[in-house]
Amino acid sequence: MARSSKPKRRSGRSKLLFRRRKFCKFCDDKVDWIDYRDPRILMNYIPERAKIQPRRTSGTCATHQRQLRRAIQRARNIALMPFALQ
Amino acid sequence: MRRYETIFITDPELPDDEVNGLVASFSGVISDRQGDVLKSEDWGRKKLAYEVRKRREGRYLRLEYTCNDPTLPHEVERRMRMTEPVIKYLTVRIDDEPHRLVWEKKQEAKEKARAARRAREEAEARARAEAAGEAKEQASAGSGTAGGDQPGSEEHEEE
Repeated sequence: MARSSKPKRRSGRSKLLFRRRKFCKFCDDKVDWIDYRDPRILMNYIPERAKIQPRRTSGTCATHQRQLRRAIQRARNIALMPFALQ
Repeated sequence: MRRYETIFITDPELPDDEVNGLVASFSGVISDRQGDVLKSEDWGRKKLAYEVRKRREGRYLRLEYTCNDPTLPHEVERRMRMTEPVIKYLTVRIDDEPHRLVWEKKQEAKEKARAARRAREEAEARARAEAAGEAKEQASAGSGTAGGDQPGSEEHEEE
């Protein structure tokens, strides 16, 4: 998948869209499974209002993003992570 | 054997002996249905990410168990629902490597395809053997190197 800078021009409003060339940290560390019981790792992926970061921001790969989402949702259900923050 | 893990949260003010009593009763439910309690953990008092039943802290407990009965986790959860001090619970099915299940299904499908291919090739070989005896040896040598093995190991690494 190409991850280069791609400026996109929209009529009326010019907005720069670019994808970071970030690698998936989980793939880098070769993690098998993202544990929902340890919120410390998961916290890196929920900035500010505790929303789950999209892949294009965090640079996670598809497989791990799915695991991550499941893990965060489980952690939320068990009150280890918040659903929403102000 | 299905492997499960249930995490549940109790009132943090609960005295230790009562907590142990709860753990024992849930473990009893499991063992009564031919289940095996593998591990029991007490994570102690922890701050909750949000208010649950007017409390900001809870006592986290974890039970790991195996069982053949698929209705067992439902029963365990039912008991927890009824128990006053338990304010939250979550049961998860784990099988060592959680995504191993998906991988195993892939392997099974591949194995079936391989077996089907082998059966087909053997049938062809037999048909050819009836026509000319030497042809059968050549066919068996060819089907022995069926390329199904390599895709299998590659899939594994992707995970």
